[in-house]
Amino acid sequence: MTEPSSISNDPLDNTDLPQIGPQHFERVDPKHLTAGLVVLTATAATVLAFTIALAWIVSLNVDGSVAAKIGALLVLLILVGSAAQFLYLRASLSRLGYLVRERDISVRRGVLVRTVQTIPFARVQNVRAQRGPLERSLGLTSLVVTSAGGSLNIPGLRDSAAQALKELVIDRSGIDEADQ
Amino acid sequence: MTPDSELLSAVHRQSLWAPVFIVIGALRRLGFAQLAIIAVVVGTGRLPGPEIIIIPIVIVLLAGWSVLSWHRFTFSLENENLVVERGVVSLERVLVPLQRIQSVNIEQQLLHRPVALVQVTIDTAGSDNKAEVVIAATSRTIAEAIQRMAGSTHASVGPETVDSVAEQPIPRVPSAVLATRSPSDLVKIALTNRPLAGLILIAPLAGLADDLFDALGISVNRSDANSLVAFDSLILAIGVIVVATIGIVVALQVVWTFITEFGLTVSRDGEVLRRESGLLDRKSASSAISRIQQIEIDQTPLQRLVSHRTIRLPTAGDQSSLRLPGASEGELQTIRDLTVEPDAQVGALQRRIDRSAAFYWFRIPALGLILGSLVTGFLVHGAAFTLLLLLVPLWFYFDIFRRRWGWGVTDLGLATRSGVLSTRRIEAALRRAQRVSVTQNLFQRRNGTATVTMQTAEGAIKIPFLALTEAEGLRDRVLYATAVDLRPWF
Repeated sequence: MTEPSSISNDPLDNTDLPQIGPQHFERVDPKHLTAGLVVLTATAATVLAFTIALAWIVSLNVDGSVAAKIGALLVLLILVGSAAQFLYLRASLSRLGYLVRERDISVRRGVLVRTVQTIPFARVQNVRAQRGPLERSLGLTSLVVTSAGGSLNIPGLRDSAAQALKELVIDRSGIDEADQ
Repeated sequence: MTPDSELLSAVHRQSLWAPVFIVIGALRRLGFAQLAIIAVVVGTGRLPGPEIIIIPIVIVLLAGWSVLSWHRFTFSLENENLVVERGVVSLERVLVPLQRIQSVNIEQQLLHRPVALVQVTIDTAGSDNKAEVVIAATSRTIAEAIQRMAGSTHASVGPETVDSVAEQPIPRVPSAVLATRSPSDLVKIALTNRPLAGLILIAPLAGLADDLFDALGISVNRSDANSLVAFDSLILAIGVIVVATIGIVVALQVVWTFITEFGLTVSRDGEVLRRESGLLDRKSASSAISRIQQIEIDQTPLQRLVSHRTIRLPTAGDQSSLRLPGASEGELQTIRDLTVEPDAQVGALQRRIDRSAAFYWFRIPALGLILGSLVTGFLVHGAAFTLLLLLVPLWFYFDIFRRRWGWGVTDLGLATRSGVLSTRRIEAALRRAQRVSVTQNLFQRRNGTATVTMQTAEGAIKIPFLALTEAEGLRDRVLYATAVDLRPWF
């Protein structure tokens, strides 16, 4: 075990330590909500179409009025569910944020279960920028920062911001580009 | 140049016996059972026809493939890198930097014994669950040379200290045996290792209970004068079954412990911790001490009685190879001093978690109990309502659980202990942290508490129900330590 000579090891008072305050978190691009909305709408539309088609087929074969009532109820449920999902998405967007400090990067997320995850730059193994087709069309990128014990996912970054953040993390954590 | 590096710098092939072990390994991956089933299904009910020709073809192909893969597989040491070339169809050249190797495991399976060879498995942090390099059969000399070489290279501490570290010769610590287990120790270990697990075997027997009681001439529903006698024999029968099952399971555990742990030795060789054991297959797991991520200490009530505990030392990618059952307090301290530096050790765990934890754990089982007893009470028999009385001990159990939940933190270390009957203690240096999270669920938000999770490269230390400010303070302290404690984490 090598022992660097210059480690200070004085007792610390928690209040002296640099803290992660709620006010510092950077919000992601609002278009991230648009991306969520597109997925939500597409899912809801598919389920709706399927339900209506099913109700119609059933109504041809059995009692039409009962099928129509059940179908209407299901449609209503899907609409209410989608509306709730939309509110949840909006709330989660306002909770989603990231914070870069000198020595670490944090992500805050979650509506019901709220969490702040932090990875010190000195523990970063690699950084990955991901763009799916939907994200590409909106000019968004997800950044995934990986350590040897878990990773951070920051979705909904503008391309330029993601690129800059990626370079910052690479620079700060001293990972070789060749290593990537 | 050390003798080890000189030995390994030549290009080596596996032993000439290796093709045999390659074939056995391949068949094992396919599954002997499946192969047997196929053979039986294809072969039953008729004489072998012309398709029998397939068998020699398969044998020739297997032999050819294994010899070819033996011939193509070479390994050598080049400038601190283990260079492995392999592949039958597509050739592959793998470069494993010695300092990236997390663990080197040597295994002598039963079939390796007569030819005095071993199998070497080399793991890096990057290989997810699949070993990076497996050398199917080689001599023990070479295997141990690889183990030593992988353990002796030190990862640099940081850009500014690379030179100073490289210049210092690594002090060679003579090898020392830290712990051994005699056969009588093994019996003790087996006996204290959850003997009640055997009760699980009884569960399926419950379905057969009626038949069994009939066979024993016991009728449960009979309401004549004999019923009391019958009830006695019923209790007796159940007792006999329970005792017999536990007895069988304990016996199996003793046998199993002897097979896997016979001759268990944990030793230190320089900066490497090595564990060897096994009656039929001899296994030797080793890892550089500095790569051990945390120390986990489990103790069941029976183990507490004989003051034994099980110690586990996870390294990145390998959760349980380095395991020491039946450890005494002295052995624990020796191993703790090796793996968690003295300045990062946490003494007594005097900090507690918030009171609300007890209610959080209590509410779901309590709800289940209330609903269960109400439904049974109304629908089946009023006596079920008395089950509600169980709420009291249930509450006390979770409250004691909460009171016993201890943790402690120093500037460089963190430790937790949980459990009432079986306890688990986890200790780690703060610099092992890879990711730190502070999480609040709905219940915790109402009570202003939070859960802190410090994830290491293998495992995590989790402290639930801390006051939010305390949780955030702990998180900040861990992050601070990752910045100031520059000793390597891997």
